[in-house]
Amino acid sequence: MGAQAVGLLQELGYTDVRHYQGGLAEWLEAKTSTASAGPETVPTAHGHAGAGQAVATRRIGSLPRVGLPGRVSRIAYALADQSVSRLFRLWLEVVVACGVIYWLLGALSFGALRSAEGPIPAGVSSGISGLLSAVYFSAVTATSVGYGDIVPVGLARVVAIAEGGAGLILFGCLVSKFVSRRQEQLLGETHRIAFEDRLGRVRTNLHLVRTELQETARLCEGRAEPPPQALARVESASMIFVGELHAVHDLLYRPERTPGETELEALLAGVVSVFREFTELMACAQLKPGDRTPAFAASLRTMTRLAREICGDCVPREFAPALKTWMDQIQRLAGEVEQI
Amino acid sequence: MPVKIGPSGAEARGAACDDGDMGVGAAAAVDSISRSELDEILGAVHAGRVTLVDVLSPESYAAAHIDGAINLPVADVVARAGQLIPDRSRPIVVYCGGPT
Repeated sequence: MGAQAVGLLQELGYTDVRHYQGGLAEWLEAKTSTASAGPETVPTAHGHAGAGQAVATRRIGSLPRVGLPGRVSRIAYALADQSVSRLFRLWLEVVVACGVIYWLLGALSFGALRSAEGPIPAGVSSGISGLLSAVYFSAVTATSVGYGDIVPVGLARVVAIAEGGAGLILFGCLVSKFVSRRQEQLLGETHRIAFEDRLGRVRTNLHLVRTELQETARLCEGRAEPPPQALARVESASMIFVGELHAVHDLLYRPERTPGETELEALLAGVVSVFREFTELMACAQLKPGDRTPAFAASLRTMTRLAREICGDCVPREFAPALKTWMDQIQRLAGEVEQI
Repeated sequence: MPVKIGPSGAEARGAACDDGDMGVGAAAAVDSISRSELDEILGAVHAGRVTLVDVLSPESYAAAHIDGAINLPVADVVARAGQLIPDRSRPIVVYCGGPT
């Protein structure tokens, strides 16, 4: 495909065209492999290499690449893409893991935790209840409540600070999820309504154009010269048609949402019938190229160009064969209109 | 003039790149460059002396592209190349999804 593009560009007269053979795949691969070899593996430390990489590839060259703030924001973006349940599980994992760390530190006689009034009794700090109070302290830290009945000492202070920061970020992500949920629902609803509106408009306008052309054809019947108002009507109808053809084209090739196949089939059938009216009308009214106004000629050109781009072979997804039949008809009729 | 859409139009529209049928231009000798050469050229791309062209779909371009590249899908090359790259003697580097 790259080679194909190079060929096309050369045919167009570009003299110095080269082809980067590896393509985007090789480029991205090299990017992520250098990233995971470097110090930017922080997301992996949390077991979310996939999410981290997704964010990294999505924003190549735009994310800050250096320093702790850059890395933290990268992790935060990765976290923001996770689901609520996953975030909550991650938060619980952090709490339990840190609890075990405090307990281990205590058991290895680093004296990790002590009660605020004095040292936790020796038996408590290493046994099962020691583990429980370590997890309790961990939860109090991660929620940033910090009662202060148990305080960290020594190495445990470093872990506590890190846990507090992580807990805060995770909690923030979780809360923002809940807040944005309703907003996303509303946005989706708005998109849906706008989309259905658009489909409806295209349908109605195709119908209007068709009836308009039929009316005009009736005006022309039995006359050698088409009456002047007929020309004006055909012209305006063709302009509306070009607009709708644009919309159909977008629905096919730039779908923000995918309309159903029956929906698309109805639209394409509408386009075909309008094109038929056009060919018949042009034959009856004998609109010669010389008689056309510049605007009408322009809309005829756009019409045929757009119609030629609607073809069964270049649809980006699998369509029902019925759609292809309509598309082929559109192609053929566009050719006829072009030749008149 | 109608936009040229060859038999490989379906691939050209999507992000996929490994089309067996190469269509136009496959027979012509293509001057290709390696990754290290691209690294050297990138400086010139950012300085605006070389045009780097992403021939994948706009969706793919939005998801990921090499920094400094412009998007010109294969299907649009004939229609829009003149408008995007007016200077025909300008050095151009083209890339797509993978090694095709």
